Formats: sequence, C-alpha cells, structure tokens
Amino acid sequence: MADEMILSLDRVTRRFDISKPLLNRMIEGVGKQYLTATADVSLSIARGETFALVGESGSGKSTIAKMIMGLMPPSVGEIRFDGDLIDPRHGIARATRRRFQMIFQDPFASLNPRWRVGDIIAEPIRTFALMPKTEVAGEVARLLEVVGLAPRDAEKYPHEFSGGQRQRIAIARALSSKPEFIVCDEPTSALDVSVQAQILNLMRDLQDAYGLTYLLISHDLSVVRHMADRIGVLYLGRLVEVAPSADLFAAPQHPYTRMLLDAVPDLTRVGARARAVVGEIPNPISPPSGCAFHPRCPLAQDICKTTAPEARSLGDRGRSVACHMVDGAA
Amino acid sequence: MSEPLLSLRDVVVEFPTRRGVLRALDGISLDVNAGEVLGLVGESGAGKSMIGSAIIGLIAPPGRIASGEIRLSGQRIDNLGPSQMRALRGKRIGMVFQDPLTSLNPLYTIADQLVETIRTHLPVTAAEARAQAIALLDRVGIPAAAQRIDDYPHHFSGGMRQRVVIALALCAQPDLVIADEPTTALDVSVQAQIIDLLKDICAERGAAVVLITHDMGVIAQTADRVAVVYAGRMAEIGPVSDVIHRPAHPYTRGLMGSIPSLREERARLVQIPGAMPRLDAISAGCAFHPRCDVATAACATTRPAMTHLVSAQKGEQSADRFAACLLLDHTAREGGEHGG
Amino acid sequence: MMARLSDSLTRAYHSDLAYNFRKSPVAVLAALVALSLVLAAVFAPLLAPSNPYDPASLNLMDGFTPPMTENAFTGNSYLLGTDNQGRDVLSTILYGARLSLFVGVMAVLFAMLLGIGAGLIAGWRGGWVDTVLMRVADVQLSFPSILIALLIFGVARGLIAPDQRDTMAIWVLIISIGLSDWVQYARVVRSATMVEKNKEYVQAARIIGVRPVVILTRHILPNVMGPVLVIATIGLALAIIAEATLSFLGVGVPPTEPSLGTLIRIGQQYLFSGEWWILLFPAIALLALALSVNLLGDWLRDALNPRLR
Repeated sequence: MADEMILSLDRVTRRFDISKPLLNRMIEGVGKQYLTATADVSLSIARGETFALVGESGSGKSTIAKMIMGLMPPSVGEIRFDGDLIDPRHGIARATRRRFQMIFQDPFASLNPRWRVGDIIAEPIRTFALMPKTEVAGEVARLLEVVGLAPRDAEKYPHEFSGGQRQRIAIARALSSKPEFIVCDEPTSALDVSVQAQILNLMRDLQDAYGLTYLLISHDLSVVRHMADRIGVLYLGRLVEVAPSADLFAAPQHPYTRMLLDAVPDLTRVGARARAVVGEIPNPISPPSGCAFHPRCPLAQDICKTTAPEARSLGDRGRSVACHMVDGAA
Repeated sequence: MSEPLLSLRDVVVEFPTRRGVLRALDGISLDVNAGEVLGLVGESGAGKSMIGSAIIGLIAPPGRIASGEIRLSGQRIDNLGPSQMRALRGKRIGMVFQDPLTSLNPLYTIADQLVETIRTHLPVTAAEARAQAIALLDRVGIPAAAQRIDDYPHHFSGGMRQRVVIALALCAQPDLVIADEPTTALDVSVQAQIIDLLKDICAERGAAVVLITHDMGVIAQTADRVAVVYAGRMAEIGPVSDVIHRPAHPYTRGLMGSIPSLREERARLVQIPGAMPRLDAISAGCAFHPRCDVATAACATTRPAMTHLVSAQKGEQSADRFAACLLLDHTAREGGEHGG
Repeated sequence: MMARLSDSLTRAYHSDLAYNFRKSPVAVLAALVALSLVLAAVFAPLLAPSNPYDPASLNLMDGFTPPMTENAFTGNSYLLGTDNQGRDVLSTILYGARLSLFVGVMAVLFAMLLGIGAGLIAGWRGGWVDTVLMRVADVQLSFPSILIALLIFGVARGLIAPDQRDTMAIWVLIISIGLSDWVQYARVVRSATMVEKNKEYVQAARIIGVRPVVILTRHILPNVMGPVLVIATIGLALAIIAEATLSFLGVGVPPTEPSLGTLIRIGQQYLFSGEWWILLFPAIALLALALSVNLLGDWLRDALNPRLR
C-alpha cells in the first residue's frame, strides 16, 4: 500500500485497573487486578479509505476508538494522527483536534438534551473559532441541509427528532469542524434497518464529497462489508486478522473470522443453517493463555495453548493473520 | 384445512392517553399452525412485540384489546380472567424474552424455578420434576446440568442464561412459544447457537414458535412464514422465501433492499424516505403512503385490506400470501421482476 | 424573541409536568397557599397595617390586645391582636414571614452553590478529591443539621465584634443554615455528574477539547438541575423551619426584627397566661408556609421521577 497513512497505531495496549479499593485488597488478601482491553494492536489507515474494526463484546473496539480520539492514553505503544502523537497526557494541539471527529452509537445520548440543535452543531465551530460569529448561523443551516434536514430545525431540541434524524444531527456536528478523519462507533446499531440504510448512504455520499477517512467500528458484518475497504477483526482485544474487505469475505483466514462469517444469519440464505461457533467469549479479566481463541478453535494445537501468535503478512495485498495454524502460502 | 393452533382476527389494541386514544395494533389477523415458525418483523414501534403481549395477555395498562379475538386451538383467550390467563401462560404458551434476566428470578436457583413451573402445570412429584428439569437443561446444552441446576441465574453467562430461559419456556410442554427478540442481547457468535437450539427443540416437541425480531437474517434462517408489521398494521404475510425474494408490499420491498448483505455486493442501499409515523400521527388511507414511491391519490384516502396475492408467474392465487396494498397487481409484478 | 418566548410558554403549558400539575389538586392548593404567602411577605410594607420595626409607632399601652377586641386603654382594635409590646400581630407576621423567607431562600441558595460546586468537582474528578469531599459530607451528615447550624452560629458570633452582632445576625444565620445543608445537594449532583460525564455528548465535547470548566457548567450542570430543584424546594421548607428553630432558641435574628420563630418564642411565654393569639397566629403562618412549600417539593419529586408514575 503506497497510500499516505493518516492514522497509525503501533503496538497499542490498554490496561484498566479494576482492582478493589486498597482497604478491601488488604482485608481479602487479593492483589491488584487488571483488564487488558486492547493488547498489542498495530494498524494503519490510509487517507480516504474506510477501515472497519469488527468484534463482539469485549473485543476492545470501543477502547481503541477512545484512545484514537484522545479520550484516554494507551498503556503501552503510541498512536499517531498524520504524524502527531495522540496522547492526552501530553496535550493535543487544537489544530490537530480539529481534524478528527467521532460519531457515536446512541443518538439519544450523544446530543445534549438541554441544547438547541443549532448550538450542538455550532459547538465545534465556536470551540475552534473557525469563523466570525455572524456567519455561524448560516453555516449551521448549510450543514443541516447537507445531512438532509431543514435549516429551521436548528431552533429545536434533540427530543423532537427520531433516532435517524438525531444521527443526522450528530453527523452535521461532526462535519462542522471540517475534519479529515471520522471514527464512527456503531453508527447505526441503534437504528432500524430502513433508517440504517439512509445513514449508511449519507455517510458514503459525504465521504465522496469531502474525501473523508472513516474508521468504522461495528459488530454487524453485513454493514462492515457494505461500507469498508479494509477490515480488522478483533477478538478479546487482539487483532486476529486484517484484510481488504473483498478478500476477507471471499477467503477468511483466521479460524475465528471463518466461524464468525458462518455464524451470521443472512437474508440470502433462506432456510440455511448457520454453523454456530462453539462456546462463548471468555472473561477478558482472565483471558486464555497463548492464543486467546484456542479454547473455541477447531484447529488448535499444543502451541496455541502456550504461545500467542504474532501477526504475519499474507500475500501482497496487505493481509495479515495472527494464527499458528494458517499457512503463510494460503 | 385443519384448524390453526393460534388465530388472531382483527385484533385492535388501544392505549387511552390524554392526547387521545392511540391504536398500537389496528386490525391484526394472522394464523399460526401447529409446529410452524412464524416470524414477525417490523421496525421498532411497529407493534410486533405488542402482538406477542396481546397473545399472552400481558398488555401494560392502560392498554387493552379493544376489539377482535384471539383463539388458541379454537378457544377464545383474549377475554380470559387474570388467573385463567396465568394458567395458560407457561402451560400452553411458553415465553422467551430479549433479556434473560427479566425472565429469571435472581433470588431463586434454576432448580427452584424449573421445578416450580413444571409442578404448577404438570401432575408430577418434586423428584420427577427435578429429573425432567435436569434432562431439559442437558438438552438445551448446559454442561454438567445435574450440578449446575442448583446455581443462581447470575452464575451463568448471557448465552447460557438464554438457554435456561428456553428450558423454562418449554418445561411444561407448551404448544406455542412466543420468542421476543431472543438473540438481540447476545453476541453474534452466540446468537446462531441460540437460534438453532430454539428451532430444533421446538421442532422436536412439536411446539409452534412466534419469533419476533427486527433481524431479517434471523427470520430468513429460522422462520417458515413471515408477517411484516408496519405502524400497528399488517403489511404482508407469506412463506419466508417468497416474502424475502419476491416482496409484494412496497414497504417490504424497501425493507429488503435496505439491508446490506453479507454475500452480495450492493452498490447503494435502497432507502425508504422518512421514518415510521408515531402512533398519534398515522395518516389516513394506507399508513405507508407518505413514504411510498408508488403511491397514488387513492392510497391517501382508502385503507387497503389484506388481499390474497395473485402469483405473477403462475397467474393463480398462491395459497397463503396476503398483502395490504391497493397497487397489489402492479407491485406483485414488480416484485416478480425483482426476485432472483 | 417574543415569538420564541410565547413558543416556550405554549410548550411549557402542554408539557407533561404542567399537565401533571393541573391534575394534582394537592399541588395546585399548595402552590396557591405558598404563592399568596410569598406575595404577602414580599409586599408586607404595602399590606401591613403598621411597621412593627419602627419603635416610634409602637404604643406599649396597646400590648396584649386580643384579636378583634377594643383595647381597654387606647380603644384600638387589631384583626389578630397585639403582642406584649403592643405590636400588631398581623403586621409582625407579614414582616416576620418576609424575614423567614429571605433567610430561607438565601440559605438554600448558599447551600446550593456550595453543594453543586462540591458535587460537580467530586463527580468529575473522582479519586482522592471525591473521597475527601464525600467523607466530609458523611461526617457532617452524622450530626443533626440544627446542631451544625448552632455550632457554626456560635463560632461565627464569637468572631464578630459585639457592636456588629445585630446587623450581621441575619447573614450569620444564613451562612449557618446553608453550611449545615449543602451535603444533600453535593451528593445528588455528584452521582448525577458521574452518570452524565460518561454520556456520549460529554465525550463529544471532550474530543474537540472543550475545557472541563465549560463542560461542567454548560453541558453537565443543566442536566443535573432537575433533582437539585426538587431538593431545593423541600430544602426551603427545612431552612425556614431551621431559622424558626434557631430564632425560637434565641440565637437567631435580634428581637427587634422578629421572624416567625422569634414571634413564636415570644408567644409561648404568654400562652399559659391566656394570651394565646400571640403564639397561635405566627405558628399557623409558619406551618402553612413550610407545609405548602414542602408539599410542592414532594409533588415535584414525584412528577420528575418516572418510576413513581
């Protein structure tokens, strides 16, 4: 891939201290406990592409989004946005902050219920002082039209809108600082399918119009397939496979990816049986040794129980897989 | 044709509010045959869960069934008293809800709850009931069922809890199971296990299933027939492959086109403009006409009735396909071209 | 601008809260009683037959006149009678309610300011800041608040020069009651802040680098004010009673400017000698004020709590 990389994560690990308070630890004689939400994740996203992170609960995808947005620092490793280090402990330059934005899962929680829509959309403009005060209202009206709402909606409050309309407002707000990169954290999982289609189409149109780069975070493989150029599959905080979207769906390599693709119910398979993945996701506080997926893996061997697999490149299309059992030649 | 197991005729559910009476369900008619899986799909607020609540007599007050009838094996059940209805639930109708925690009492062990339910509805001793419960837990895939039966609900993971709920729903050998979004709270990889289990175990026991979900993929892989609900009304009902591949109602057509697929590339998703109306703002005529791309002037004034569909290919009435649309001939042809 | 205002008013009238209010006779009655008492107190100088704070207008000969009876010496008649110093009881009640309300409102505002500030900081920062603030709150909660107020009042009076005491008395009273009452605001605001700060709209503001002070005041504060207003209404009733209690105990406002509590203290000395009206009418006024405000607060709490509906 010769494209210019806009975002890169280099061996990013995030641990959370979930220990009981000091007094309880002393009384119960237990040590500190940590939850590793993200382990050793490296990836880079090229300008203009849609990169998707898929994973089930506990896969660490939202933690990655928060670290990229500078809401929490990584425990180990570093995140760079167009060369600039993203780490809240060192402060993030306003000029850098303006260039990335986020769209959240729940459009009922991501808009302040006490604020008028116009003020919500204008907040980034005002915070970054992007234009004279007299021009803000006009810009808000323009943004509302861009996302398919009416300029007069600026006067209303969020509770007057449906879920899909609120997500449009959230998108207008995200666009208002003229960002280059937007993290979309499950942007449609709270919406009905017919509304989901509207939002996904809008996101694509905006990407074409403004040359946006998306990091799409989702558990919904069909949405990911529809939107993404490249896909990273997360399992228990570990990146198990990265591949161009078409390749991943045509020939999934990691056993987890394969099982996931088989398990997802799909419209095109009327009456067909999904092949269910055996077992359930382990507790991330005490993940399995070696490869985190080995207790559920049909291919697991002894080495999988002891040694965590490193990501290895496959072919020349930027694929990589972290699995002992996948042949480099595959 | 034999009598259907469950039959809803023109069921109307109303909620009196200070802003007027809201119709949550408006003229729902459908049949469920013994042993079949009927899928109910619709967007949130369409009334699909309300149909389930109406069947099991658990509509939250002040809502009530204003007219119409619901029959189970020919017997009216919509006008039963609370105690008769309670006897019916569990015994003849099992229930599986979205959140397994709401179906399980956290203060009692799994054994307590299963044995109590079995003994409430079946004439067996405590020991027999316990043996039945263990066998059932084993069947739904709880490892070491004989030991784990004495655990409390919080000892189980989400997927395991939903297995327990399925066991609880089936322990009195009901004829009908109402499953309301049974897999929505679960992870994708666990979802398929639960759907498979529900389908297999109901088939084994000959129980019919009303599967309520917003996930068309789940319906496609599980249901025999599917009913599409829109704004408290039936839009379309028919065999699942017909409805998915040759949708007759413009709403169903839009819905199917709006779902991104795992296995085929769709350049652009079909989008239905707008959103489903709130219950207090349903337009006259066809409830869908403001969003419909083929609506005519008549759609704004005449409410379409459920009509038997004429199959475009064979030119004959297909046995069990109905849709409520004034432009049915037109759309059915369109649908025929659409399918493939 | 006017259109916006009338728009807001229409919306307020049709809101669930307003509907709930109209459907609750207790709330309507309490609001009417509270409102008329507040208006009477605020316009006391216009409504009262005499100014009881003006020694020049007092005639000791008028003392102990029973209600609606002619005084044996002066022939004056008073609707609610007079007290030991010949002050018109109706006027002292109006002026006293004015003082009680002023002290109550100011004490509540002071407690709100402290409590909201502490709650926002504790909820937002967490960690040791939270621990320290909340332990202080716990310690204070383990004493009856009237004792705390007495303690603070005593210490404060000790610090003030004797010739300043009477003029400063009201402010000392306000601070004492306010300091004894900030804890519940802090607790409620803290827990609401901990919920709100994890909501996505706060994250969205943090992503674009909005400063914590701005996030706390412009984003979080408006969203935690609902429960605060409920406590403030009930707290107002409690503050009025606290002021009355302190004045009754003789540590409140100076006797020259009687509040309802002072009047009750004066009145109870004469209860057994037959001058019942000096005690009874101020007590009824205090009861009506505290009860109506309290009922309003109760109603507001239930109306804003979706679980009780």
